[in-house]
Amino acid sequence: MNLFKVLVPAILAGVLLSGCASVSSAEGPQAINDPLEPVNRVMFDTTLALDRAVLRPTALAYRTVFPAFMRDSLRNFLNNLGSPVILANDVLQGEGTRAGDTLIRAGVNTTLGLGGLVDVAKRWGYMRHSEDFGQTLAVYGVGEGPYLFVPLLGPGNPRDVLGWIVDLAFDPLTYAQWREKFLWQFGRAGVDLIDLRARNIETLDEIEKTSLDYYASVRSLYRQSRNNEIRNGATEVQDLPDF
Amino acid sequence: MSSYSRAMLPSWAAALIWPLVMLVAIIFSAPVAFAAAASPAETFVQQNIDKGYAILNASLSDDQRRAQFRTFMLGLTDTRRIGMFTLGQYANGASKADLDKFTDAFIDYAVAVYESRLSKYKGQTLKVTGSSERAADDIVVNADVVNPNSSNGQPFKVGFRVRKTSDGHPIITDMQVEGVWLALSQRSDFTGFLQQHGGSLAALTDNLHMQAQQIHASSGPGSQQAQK
Repeated sequence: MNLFKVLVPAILAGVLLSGCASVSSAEGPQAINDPLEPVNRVMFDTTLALDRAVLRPTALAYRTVFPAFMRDSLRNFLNNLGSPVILANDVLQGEGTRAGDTLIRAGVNTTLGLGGLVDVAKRWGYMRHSEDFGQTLAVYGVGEGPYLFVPLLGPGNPRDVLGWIVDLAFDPLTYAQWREKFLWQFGRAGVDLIDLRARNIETLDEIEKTSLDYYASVRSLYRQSRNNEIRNGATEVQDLPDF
Repeated sequence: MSSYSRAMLPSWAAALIWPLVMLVAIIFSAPVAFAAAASPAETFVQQNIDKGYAILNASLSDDQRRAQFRTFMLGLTDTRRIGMFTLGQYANGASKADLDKFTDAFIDYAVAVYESRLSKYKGQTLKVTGSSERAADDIVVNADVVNPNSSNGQPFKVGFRVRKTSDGHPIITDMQVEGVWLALSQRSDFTGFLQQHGGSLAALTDNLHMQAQQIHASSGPGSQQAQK
C-alpha cells in the first residue's frame, strides 16, 4: 500500500496535466507518449525477471495440477465477484443494455450458478464483458496521461491506476468486515493473478518470441487493446494511421 | 387481401396462414439479401483466408507448406508498404540499398510471424461479418474466428485492412486481432529497437533475419504438440 501513497499524487498530477481536452483519438496507438521510458524500462525488466522466476512457473504448476473444470469454475467465481464493479461502470457510462446483461448474469450465476462457480448465464446468451472506472473516465473524455509500467501490476497509465483505486470503492467487499478479511482479499488477488497468467502463457511467450523490443511491443499492445475495450470492441476506422 | 382469404378460408385459418407465409418469405429472402450485401473487399478477404487455411491445414512437409504459404502471403499482402510503415520516422533519410535489405528481411520475418500466428487457429473457421470504409480504397473487413470444436468458446474478432495496388487490385496492408493491429505493434516494436540501437537499420535487418529463423525453428513439427 505504500506504493500507492507515492503513486496517487503522481497519478492525479498526471491526469490533470494530460487535461480533459485530449480525447483518445488524438493520442492514438501510434503516439509513444512515454516520457518516463527509462524508469518504465527498469520496472519492466524487474517485473519480467520476477515473472520468469516466480509467476510464470507458479502459473504453469497451477495449470498442471488443477484440471480445466476447476480452473474455469474458479475463474467464473472471480468474475462473478467483479460484477458490482462492472455494473457500476456500465451505469456510469449510460450503457443500459450492458448494465442489464451484467445484472442478469450476476443474479443467475449467483443463484443457479452456485455462487458464481458455473456461468449459467453464458449458456443463455448473456456474454460477459468487463468495465472499470479507467474506461469510464476515458468515455467521459479524460486523457490517459503518460504511459506507466507499474511493478507487478503491469502496463497502465494514470487514468487506469486512478480507475483501479475508484473501483475498489465500488466493490461491496471493500466495506464488509470479517475476521480473516485481509487474508481473503490477498488470496483473491493472488489467485486472480496466477489464473490470469496461466491463461496467457502461450500468448505472452509468442509475443516475446516475435518481438525485437519486448518493452515497446507490450506498450503498443496494451494501448491498442485498452482502447479497444474502451470502444467496447467497435473499430474506429478514421483513427487508423495513413499507410 | 383479407377479403380474398375470407372468401377461400375460414378466418382462423387465414389468421394462421398469412403470418406463416410471411415468415417463410422472410426466411427465404434473407440469404439472398446477405449474398448481395457482401462487398468485393469482403469476398476478397473470405476467399483468400480460406485459401490460407487450406495451405496450413494441408498434409504437406514443413518445407512445402512454408513455400506455399510464402507465395500465398506475398500475393495477398503489400509487405513492402507495411515494411516502410513499420520504420516510422526512421524510413526518412535511409539509403535505398539499406531499405531494400530491410524489406527482404521484413518479408522473411512477416511471413514467419503470420504463419506462426495463423497456425494457432488451425481447424477454426473465419467468417466475414461486414466492413467499414475509411476511404474508397481503404476498407476494414471484419470477421469472426469460430472454433467449431468448442461449444462454449466465444468467437474472437479479427479485421483486415484492404487497400488497392497501383493497378487497382485489392491487397491487405494490416490485420487486427481483438482490436490490436499487427503493423502498428510492429512499428512500435521496430522503432523501439532502432531507438535503443542508435537508429541502425543494419542492426534491425540482421535481427529480423535471426528472428525469422528462430520462429521457423520453434514452429516446426514440434509446435503442433505444444498447442495441446
